[in-house]
This record gives sequence, C-alpha cells and structure tokens, in this order.
Amino acid sequence: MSGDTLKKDLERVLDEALKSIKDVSNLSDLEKARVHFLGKKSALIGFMKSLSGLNGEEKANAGKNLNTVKQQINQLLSDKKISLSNSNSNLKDEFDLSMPGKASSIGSIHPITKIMNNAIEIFESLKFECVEGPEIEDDFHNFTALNIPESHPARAMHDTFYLENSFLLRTHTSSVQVRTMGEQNPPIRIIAPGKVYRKDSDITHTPMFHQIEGLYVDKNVSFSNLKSVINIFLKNFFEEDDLRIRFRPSYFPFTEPSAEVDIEYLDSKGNKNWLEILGCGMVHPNVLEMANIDSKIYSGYAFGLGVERLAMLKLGITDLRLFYENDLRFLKQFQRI
Amino acid sequence: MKVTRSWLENYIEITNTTDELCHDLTMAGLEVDDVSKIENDYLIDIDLTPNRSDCLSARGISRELNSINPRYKKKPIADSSEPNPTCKNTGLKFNILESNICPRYGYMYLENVSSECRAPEYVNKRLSDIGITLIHPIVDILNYIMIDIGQPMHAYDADKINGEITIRMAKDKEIMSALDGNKYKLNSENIVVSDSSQIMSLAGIIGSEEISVSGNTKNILVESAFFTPSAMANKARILKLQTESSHRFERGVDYNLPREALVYLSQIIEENKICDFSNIDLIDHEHCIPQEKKVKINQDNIRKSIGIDISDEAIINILLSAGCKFDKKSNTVLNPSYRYDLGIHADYVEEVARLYGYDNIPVTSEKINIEPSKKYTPFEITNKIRQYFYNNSYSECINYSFVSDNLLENSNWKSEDFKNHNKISNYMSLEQNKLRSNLVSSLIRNIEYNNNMSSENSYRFFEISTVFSDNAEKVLSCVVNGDKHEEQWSSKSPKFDKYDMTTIAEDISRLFGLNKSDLSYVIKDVKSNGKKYIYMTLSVDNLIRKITNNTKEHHVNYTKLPYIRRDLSFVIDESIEYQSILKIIEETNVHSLKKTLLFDLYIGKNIPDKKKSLGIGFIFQDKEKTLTHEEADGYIEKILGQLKDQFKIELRK
Repeated sequence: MSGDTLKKDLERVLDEALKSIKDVSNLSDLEKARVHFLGKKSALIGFMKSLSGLNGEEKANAGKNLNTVKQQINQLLSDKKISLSNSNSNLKDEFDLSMPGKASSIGSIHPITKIMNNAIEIFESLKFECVEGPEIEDDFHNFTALNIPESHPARAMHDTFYLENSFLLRTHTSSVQVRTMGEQNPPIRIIAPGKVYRKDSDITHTPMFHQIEGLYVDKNVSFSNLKSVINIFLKNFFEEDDLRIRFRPSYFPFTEPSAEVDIEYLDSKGNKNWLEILGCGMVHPNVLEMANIDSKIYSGYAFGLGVERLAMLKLGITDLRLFYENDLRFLKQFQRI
Repeated sequence: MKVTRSWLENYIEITNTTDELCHDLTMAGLEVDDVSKIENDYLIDIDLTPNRSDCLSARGISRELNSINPRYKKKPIADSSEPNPTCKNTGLKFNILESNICPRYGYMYLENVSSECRAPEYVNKRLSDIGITLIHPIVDILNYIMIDIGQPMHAYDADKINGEITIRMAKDKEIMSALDGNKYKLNSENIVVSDSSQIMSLAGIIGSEEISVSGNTKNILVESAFFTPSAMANKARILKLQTESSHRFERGVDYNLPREALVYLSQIIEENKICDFSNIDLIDHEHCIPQEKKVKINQDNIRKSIGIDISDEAIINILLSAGCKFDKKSNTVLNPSYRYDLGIHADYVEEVARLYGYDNIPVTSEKINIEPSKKYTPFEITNKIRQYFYNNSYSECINYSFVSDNLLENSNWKSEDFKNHNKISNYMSLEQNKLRSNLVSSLIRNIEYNNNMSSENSYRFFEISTVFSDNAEKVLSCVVNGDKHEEQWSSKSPKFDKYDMTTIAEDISRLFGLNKSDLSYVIKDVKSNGKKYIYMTLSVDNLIRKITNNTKEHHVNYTKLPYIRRDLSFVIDESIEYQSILKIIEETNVHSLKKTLLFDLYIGKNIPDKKKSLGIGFIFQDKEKTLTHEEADGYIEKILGQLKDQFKIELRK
C-alpha cells in the first residue's frame, strides 16, 4: 500500500465518520460508532497494521496522517457526546404534554408603566397627543407661568426639591403645559406623562411619583366638555360603564373653575365611598396670557392624574412603597400583556 | 378648619342631617375631611382650599351654606352696638411705620382683670369641642371670637409695655422669644410690633413670651389689626411658624372685622362682667385698605365657558346670593369685602359654576378638529423597547431618581470619572442627596435586594429613565447576573456574557430599522459585593433622534438562484477587531458575497498566545445566474488573499 492510497483511504474514513456520527441520536449508537471507527476491528486499526509495509519517510508521514484522522474522529465523538447529554435526546421520541416547558421567556412590565400606558391609550383614542417635558425645571415653568407667584400660599402645598444651581425638580407635569403652549399655537390637545418630585415621604407619599397631565386649548372649550372627557376616561379606565363620578369645586392656581373628581367605590366592608381620583379645571386666563394665548378668543381645560393612585385602585395595591422596591415577587404579578 | 354643628346653628337654621350638611359643603368646594359625633353634637373638619379664607370662621361657613342653599336660613343678627366703656384708654402712643402692611390697627384696654375671672362656659365648651387648648380667660375669648367671626387678635400685658408702640420691619438678626417657647432670629423681611425696649409680637403671627398674658396679669392691651395678605404671604412659612393667626392673615381677613371683633369682645366682657374695658380705637390708613373690585359681567361668556343654559337673571341671582353687589346699569358686580378670591371675570365664572352645582352641569361631547401627529412619540418608542425586554424575560424596574454618595454611582454611563453630580440642596436624607447619573447602580441594588429575598440563579432587569449629569439624558440600562435562563429540566443554562448584551443592541437597532453603529451604547461588566454583573446602557435620546431621521421600511427584490457557502477558519491576532476584518472583506468588492457569518470564535489550547481562531462562513449568490463552484473558489481566494495581506492570518487545517 502506498502513502497516497492510504491518504485517500483515510479521507474516505473521515468522511464516513463525519456523516454517521452526525446522524447518531443516542448514546448507545454513539458507542457503536466509536467501536466501528476506532475499535480493534476498525479500518483505522487495519491501516495502522499496514504501516509496517512502508519505508522510512513515507511511514512517518502516513503515521502522522493516520494520527490526525484518529484525533479528529475522537473529537467528533466527544463533541457529539456533549451535545447528546445536553439535549437528553433519549427523551426525544417520547412527549409528555403535561411536562413543563423549557425556561420561559416572558418577563414583566412595571405596573406603573402598564397603568400609564393604559391611560395614555385611552387619551390617544380621544385624539390627545403624548408629549414629554424635562424633569429638571426652572421656577418660571413650574410656578410663575402657572399663576403661582413667589408669595402665593399655594407654593406651600408643593414641597419642592431645589438643585444647587437654583433649578428645581418639577413638582407636577403641569410644567409641560407651559412648555407646549410656548411652542405650539392652539388648537393644542396633549397629554404629558412623567415623573414628578415632592419633598414628602410617608405611608401615602413617596418623594418621586408619576403624573399624567392633560391640556386642551381651543375656541369654545367648556367645563361641560371637560366633564365629558373625564367621564369617558374614567369609565374606560376602570372598565365600568356605570361608574359613579362626581365633580366637586376645588382650588388650583392654574385653573378656574377648578374641580376635584371623585369616583364611587366599595370599601372592604362593602360600604360605598367616594374617592378622590384627579384634579382638573378650566385653564386660568392668566396662564393662557402668560403663554401669549388670547384668553378672549381661546379657552381650555387641564387635568392631572396621579398614576400611583390609579395603579393602586386598579390593581388592588395598598402599600405605595411596593412600587419602588422592585421585588420580583411584586413585579412578576403583573405579567399580563 | 374645625367647627361644630351647634356652632353653625348659631347663625343658620339646619333642618337636615349632618351627613347631608357635609355633603352640601363638600359639593360646594368646602371638602369635609371628617365628621365625628361628640355628645349631642357633631365635630366637622373641613379641608379648606387656600382661596377661601372667608370660611375660616363659623360665621363664614354659615354664610357660605346660606349661599349654597337658602334652606340654611339666616338667623337674626345679634345687636352690634358698642357697650359703654367702663375704663379709660390710657393713652399709649402708636407709630405705624408700615401703613401699607398694617392699614388698620384697632385696640382697646382691659383693666382690673382678676385671677378669679372666667370666660363664659359656652366659650370654653366650644373651644374644647374643636380641640383648642384653654389658656387664659381673655385669650380664650379672643380665640373664640377668631373662630366665630374670623378676626385674629392678640392680648399683651399692658403693664409690661414701655413707651411708644411701633409697627416696623425687624432689624437684621433681631431675636425674639415667641410664645411657642422658641427663639427666632429675624431679618428685615419680618414685620414686628414693638415698644421702645422689646419686640411685642411678630405681627399677625405670634406674640413674644415676655409680654404675654399670664395668671397675674392685671391690665391688657388687645390688638385687633388688619395686615394685608400680600405682606403676610410667606412670612410664617419662612420661619416654619404657622399659627391660626398667620394662616388667616396670609389668606386674607376681612378689613371690616377689626372693629367688629373688638365690639364683640366688649359685649362678652360686659355681659359676663369679666373686667373693665375701654372704648375702641382704630388707627386707619384708608388709602392702603384694599378696594372692592368692580367687574363687568359677560353672561354669554359665563354660559359658554361653563356649558350651561342659564338666564342672565339667574346668573345675577347666584352672585347676589354669594354676597356680591350688582349694578344693573353697568352690568357690574362688586365683591364682598371678605371674598379675596373674587377679583376677575374668571372668578365669577367659577362662582356661578360652583353655586349652580358642578353635578348639574351637563356633559357635552367635544367636536375636535385636530389630527394628532402620525410620528412615533418618544413614549411609543420606549414602549416597543419595553415589549422587547418583556419578550426576553427581563423585568422592568422603576427606581427613585435620587442616590447617595457611593462608588458605583460616581460614574455616569458614558465615563467612569464623572464628578459633576446634580446635588439636591434641600435633600431629605443623605441616601437621597443627588440625582443619579446612571441606572446601573440602581439595578444592581435591585438584584442584590432580590437575591437576599430569594435565591434565584438568574436575574434580568431593565429600566428606562432619565439620568442626570451635565445634561439630562433618557437612557435604557439592562443588568444581568448569573445564568442566562432560570433553572429548568432540559439543559443546564450557560452563564451570561457580554455578547448577550450585544445581541440586545443588535435587536434594538433592528426593531427600528437602524444599524448597530447608529446606536450610542456601552457594554461592560462590574463587580459588586463579589458578584459580577454584566450590563448595557443605551442612549434613548440618541435612538429617538436616529429614528426621526429614518427612511421608511421598503421591500427589496431578492433572487431565488442557488447559493454556495465556503467556510474559512483562521488564526489572527487577538487584538484585531471583528469590525476591521469585515471592513477588509467588504473592500474586496465581491458583489456576489451576500452574507458573512461568524460561526466560531476560539481562544485557548492549540492556539498560540495572543491569537484567536475565527470561523467565518461566506455565502455567495449571484443576482442573474447560477454561480459555479469555480467562481465561488475564486471569490474565497480573493478574500483570503486580502485577509492574509492585511492581517497575516494563518488558515487552520
């Protein structure tokens, strides 16, 4: 046997090994393949024996080639062994419908985000456009332009975080109203979701929370329209056509008339109670004028929703702090799309 | 504001239940926070909005109830004549330097106050009912009058007054020991009542300790002044010293009350023979007293902006019931002196809506002529990203924007040596004294928290939020730790590595039709408490900008001719980036190369030091004809030649 013939034979064996090892589907067949290709009666051992018929250099080369092929086949076998043991392929033909599947690829969306999206979708269907504004604000956009001058007692209701550079963290998303009115001419119909900050921390307050602000400025906008939009929103949001809603006079410096809106709910004892759910009102003429909108031609309404409060009501959460602990036992409860 | 039902019944007839009464108050904007039964009475706690200072008294609330519904019929007004004084005004001198702040200063003397004297029983009872501590009979009567009609007053021990009384601005660093037991350091913004040797009170806020009335006091000076709301605004808040008095003055007290309150006081004193009292003196600076504001009423505007069908006459009747004066000829109204919240037309729109009843206003659907923009909003973009993470078993976290000084938090997401924190000057705690510059440290804390609670072997968290450094920037961070997936029966999970993050970056770029190179992101690992966390942070602001400039998705024709694949396995310097290899391949200009596919990366045994082994598959396909194997071989030779030239690669056998 010449070195060349041997080389061709070796290539053939390797080819064959590649194909048959690839097709092996269980460990016992793999053992059979090992015996076939590397066992005592294998072609490779046969070649080994025939080496003695070759002379010096030829013998060395052939030996080297033979060893390489042997190593390659060994590698194929051990790779296959790993892949077989990983996939438990012994089980492949048997299927148990009641078995759990493999690791799930479903995560979770934070309930605050879900509730926010929920609300935004409803408002978008009512043709509100969703916009965002900065969380670091200046005094003008957060207070002055909203008819809250320095001396106004209402500033006491907003415990504000100030930064070292005299800027502040917005205390409400109403600042986005001001920014939008500064950039756009009426008609304006926006909602602005986002984080807001107040220096307050106890069972019912966290220093950061989320709001959704709504604003509509156009000709002939009335309080009666505001009632309509809020009614549609709340009934949709709580998925209750018969939801009882009431508007009650209140006070915000940036709206007049101002209202707080309550919904009726059943407490744990089954008693009917009113629960405050949002604040709203007709945009104060001073706010329009400060944004260079003629309050004799245009009017508008604005509303502000507390997202945490909506989430607590809708999802039955009683402890506000849960939202910011990010405990998986909490987060994973809200896996529904 | 706390008041009892029986106190209100002093002024109005109440024929309905307390629940109904509270409902009427709430629905008129005087929200009843709490009602509790006390003996044969009810204690009503009203959460008043800051604009309604006129309701900071029993009489004010009664008046309001009468405007809300005439069923709360007014009772006849008590005699308001001033009784004959029983002692003289001792002739102290007053010097009101700040007449714009104190345009009206009323006072009277009480003499021969004995330690035996008592306030009438109904005064003590009513004050106790609403939770006001009894202090001294005269002081208690003053408090009673304040709650009853709304005028805050103050009593000074007249025997301790030295010389002329001045109302002036405080001097810088002037110290006052107040009745609450605290010392206050004042400045030139504070208004004080002082005599020649001491501060007698912080005007309209609190009296000073030294000159206060005690059990031994024989003679008393009673102050009943009007301080303007604009001057009083913020004064108490800055000193963190809110009193019943400051609360009323900064919101606005009726300037007609100072005399009335003193008359009321002398009536009570006379009736109960408590002590001697002088005549009443008022020091007025008429031009500084607020004027009633005349406002022209536009009935059409009122109908339109509320959205109700109401007659002109009915509108005026509502305003009259609220105590306004109406002039038919000029169609104007004047606000009552106690209503500081009625000054412009919008105030009257609100007043009409309020007394008409918000619940009676119909619901009118809108006719909107706006088409919202069709563009992706930032919110939609972040939601699509959230959905991607949701589908890949990541959990979304929301953390506070505040952080403390901490090593991990000292780096912003782009550079490690970030020092420009946005510090909060009035932070609540050292744990929350600045704004975070990255989300990663919060997310690592979330994983550590969860790891303490349970022992999962796989954590995948993400958050999308604004971080603050030199600028505010909206970013996305995802942090992973441990196994790629949760424990399961079918196979053991590999550990997370940084290339898992690369996949995310690639997927996100694909979601929005961009290339990975369009994104601004970092992928790193970091150790915390002995555990390794792998993370990616991506700029959402940058992504939004890129998406805005994006072209529309469109179809490209593809060929159905067969393809040929050739693989190359080679050893190359470890330091050479994959990107530069791709660049060289691209530069060979082989047009039939449809795709390159990295199928193997290996470093270790059998590969020389500082080298890596790469396996790349090349897929060739021609648009017009079936490729031959010879052509494919030719292409691969060309590519191989270039790679050899550029990187001195060695083919693996």
